[in-house]
Amino acid sequence: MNNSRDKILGAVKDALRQPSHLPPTPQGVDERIKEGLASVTPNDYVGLREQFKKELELVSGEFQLVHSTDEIVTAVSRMMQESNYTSLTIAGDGPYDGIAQRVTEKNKAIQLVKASDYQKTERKEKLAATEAALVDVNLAVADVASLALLYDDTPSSLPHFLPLTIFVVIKPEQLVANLFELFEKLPAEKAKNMTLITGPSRTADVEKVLVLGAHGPKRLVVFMLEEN
Amino acid sequence: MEMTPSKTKQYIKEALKDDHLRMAVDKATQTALHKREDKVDQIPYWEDLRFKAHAVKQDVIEHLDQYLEEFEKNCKQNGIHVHWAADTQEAQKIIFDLVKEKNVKTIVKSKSLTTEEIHLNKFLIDKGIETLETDLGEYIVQLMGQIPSHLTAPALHLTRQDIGKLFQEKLGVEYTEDPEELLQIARARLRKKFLAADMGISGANFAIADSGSFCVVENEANAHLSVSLPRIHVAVMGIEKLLPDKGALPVFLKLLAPSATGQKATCYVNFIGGPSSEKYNEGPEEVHVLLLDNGRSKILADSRLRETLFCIRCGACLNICPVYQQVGGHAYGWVYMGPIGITLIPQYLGLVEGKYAPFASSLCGACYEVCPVRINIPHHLLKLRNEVVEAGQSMKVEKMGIAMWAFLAKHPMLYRFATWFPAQFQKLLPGETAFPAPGYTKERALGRFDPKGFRKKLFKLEKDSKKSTE
Amino acid sequence: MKVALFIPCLSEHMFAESAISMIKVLKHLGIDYEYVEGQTCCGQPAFNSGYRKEVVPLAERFIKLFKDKEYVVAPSGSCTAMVRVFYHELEIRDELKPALNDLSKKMYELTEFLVDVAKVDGLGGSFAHRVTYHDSCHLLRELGVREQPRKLIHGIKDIDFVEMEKSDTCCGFGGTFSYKFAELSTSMVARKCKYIEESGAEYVIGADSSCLMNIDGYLRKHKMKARAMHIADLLAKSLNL
Repeated sequence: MNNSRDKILGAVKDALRQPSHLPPTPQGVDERIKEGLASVTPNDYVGLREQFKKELELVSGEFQLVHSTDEIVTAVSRMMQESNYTSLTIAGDGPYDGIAQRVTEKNKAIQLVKASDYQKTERKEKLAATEAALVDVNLAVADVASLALLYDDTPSSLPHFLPLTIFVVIKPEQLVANLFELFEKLPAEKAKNMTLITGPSRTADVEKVLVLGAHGPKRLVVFMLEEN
Repeated sequence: MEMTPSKTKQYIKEALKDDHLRMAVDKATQTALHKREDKVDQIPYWEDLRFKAHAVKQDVIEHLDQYLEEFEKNCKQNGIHVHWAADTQEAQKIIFDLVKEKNVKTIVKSKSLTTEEIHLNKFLIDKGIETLETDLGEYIVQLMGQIPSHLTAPALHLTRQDIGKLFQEKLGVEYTEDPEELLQIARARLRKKFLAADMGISGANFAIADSGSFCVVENEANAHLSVSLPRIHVAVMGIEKLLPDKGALPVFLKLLAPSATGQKATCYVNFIGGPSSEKYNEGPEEVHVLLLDNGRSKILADSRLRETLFCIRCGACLNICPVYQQVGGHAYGWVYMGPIGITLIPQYLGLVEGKYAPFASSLCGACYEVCPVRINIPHHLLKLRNEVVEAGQSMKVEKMGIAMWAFLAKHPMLYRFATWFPAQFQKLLPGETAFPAPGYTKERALGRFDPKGFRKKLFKLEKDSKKSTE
Repeated sequence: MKVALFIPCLSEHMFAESAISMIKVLKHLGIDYEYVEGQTCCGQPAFNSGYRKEVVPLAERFIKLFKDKEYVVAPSGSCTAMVRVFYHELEIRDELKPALNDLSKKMYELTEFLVDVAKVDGLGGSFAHRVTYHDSCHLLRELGVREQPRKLIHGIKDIDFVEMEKSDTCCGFGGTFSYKFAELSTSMVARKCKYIEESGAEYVIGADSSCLMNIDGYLRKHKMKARAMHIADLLAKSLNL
């Protein structure tokens, strides 16, 4: 609609011939934000990791510190059995797909579902009834326990949103302090297509009573894999 | 029945009689405020974030044409279609044309006040297109045939019993009032809809000019599913929703969640920068952005009131407003409610339909204190009240009364004389009663005129003190 | 130090005692004052109702009357805010603008003046009752005055001062709002009075007669225990003036 485009831009340009009558911004705002951020940021990795854990638990996520992929296999197997889950989904081409493989090898009752096995058109149907997924993300934000999933770097993002339970594996080098650092670190090109995930999905639309598992996952378990 | 702000006095009266509504609104607002305070306390640089957000928005608004052109250019480079709609009718037409062209039968929607501003749901449903709200609160309100009563908590005014009955009636399920079970019912239904829908429509919380992308903020994952599962995604956004670059995002995201729901971060922030591609082959085949004016460029023309375009629709002003706390959102008669609502109503809908809106406030200023982008709502309300008066929309009686008062106040002798009268008449009233004032004195005693008045008392005081020093 | 007094119209006609109390307190502190003849109204009720043209002559009058004074003090946060903040929104004559800017720097609300300028720490005095304090909106948010009245109240030796819940929530007066939206206004003052009652206070202290009149009106009509009292009256009473 070129007509409207020109009309709107013209109206905007006309309107802006009037300079603003707005209060000035005080000096030093950017500096004080930086200082304020620094004052609440832990100054070492362990501090950041503990902050991430605490914040994750505050949004009903679960945090487990592990030192080997074996530990993840054991933990995931146990949780899958406890919930009587029979399917574990992976995106395909993921760094931790091997862990999921080992889980299903250990537990014959659990079927491995690989998103990239399916054509896009049938993928969402196949994954819609999936119970659990084992996934990775790109970065983790300590101060609010957010996980950044860049679509450019994964063959499928459906495993992050469709199942009831998602197991996420992260590593120490993926941890950043806060959103300011996150957006500084992320190249603009990558930040265009991504989702920041903070805890399991939720709603409080019925009488402000918090209920988890709205339209996305109900349970979010993060494994911090500290391998030496 | 279409609600209108010109009937706000009637709606307010009705709301004040609805005890159950008032309890619900009170509970919801107090919870949100309490949680907000807790989060704000943890951010020592909160006030500076607000100044920063104001500064960023001021820059965007003052260069809106440039940022819009930049955004459009970058969107197109990303393969996103950009449409421009001057008003509601045009926006509706653009979307409908797309629906027809792409053979869309069902639409899933994530919560978007902008789409309510253009009455999109009703328009599409009237045309026979299934248009389903997927945010639980909006889904409930849609089933009920109502408009939302709060910016971020649409079903605030309903109890679990209301919702249980509604689901039983409209969805044919067994009655339950357990929030968890109610959610499960909705989840199951809507999961099927997400998978089958042809088109997803969302709003956009922030659009980033230098990258041609935008984000949708939510807690339920319904927005994510709405924008990524169907083959077409349409995002409707007001032209003022731009940010210059990704560097501004942390500022706004850190302000938005605590202000809106008292969270540190919302569950999901979905960034969309294009349709599915070779690199990432999930997601919709087509992404469309609809840039909506609908009166925004007119607001922009006022050198002060353009500050009202900074609004990020968080709802903090609603939660803290003592007026909103008494009556909830329906009392305002329009999609935007509370303090920002009464500031926007006369600007968008005109000074006739909006002649009461700016007066539905005691000008306490609490809204300004919590606004994350520092919109000086009380000052803007005063300006809008002046506009209503200048447009001849105030009561004639009042205008005459004010003119008389102003005349007297310029002539002290007359002023003294004129104000001496009521004090004397008051002597005719029995006992300690004061003059009745319609409405006001129903539940309150008015102050009595002091029969002596200040000046007489002052002279007496000074005479007495002179005596005592002599 | 000489203080020119501005007496708000509500004080002048209905709550003269509070203004007199203010003067008694100033006398007690040895502060020289003057009552400027010819003062009338600052124009706030009209301004708040959307009338600006009509208020310009009142504003100009006020500026001319008070511009050469050392300090101007008013026992009202809303009148003080009207002059300091909102007069700048009016289209007053250019030649008066410097005087207005000057006036904005030397006009004070009473408690602000006593604590920040006269450096009153505590007046001593006695008032052995439980009181609470209501933050008037303009005083709190336009002028930023929160601590000064509390300091003065605390300065009374045997006073039992309790903060009520949500002391800074609007009492619902809002000038013409109180009758244009009477039921809504009533609903707001009802809540304020509930908090006052819950605090157990015998008196709710405030610095604006308009709020106090609104609150007191509801308390009386509903036969509630507490009564409203202007802080000037409190200070005068505590000193037995």
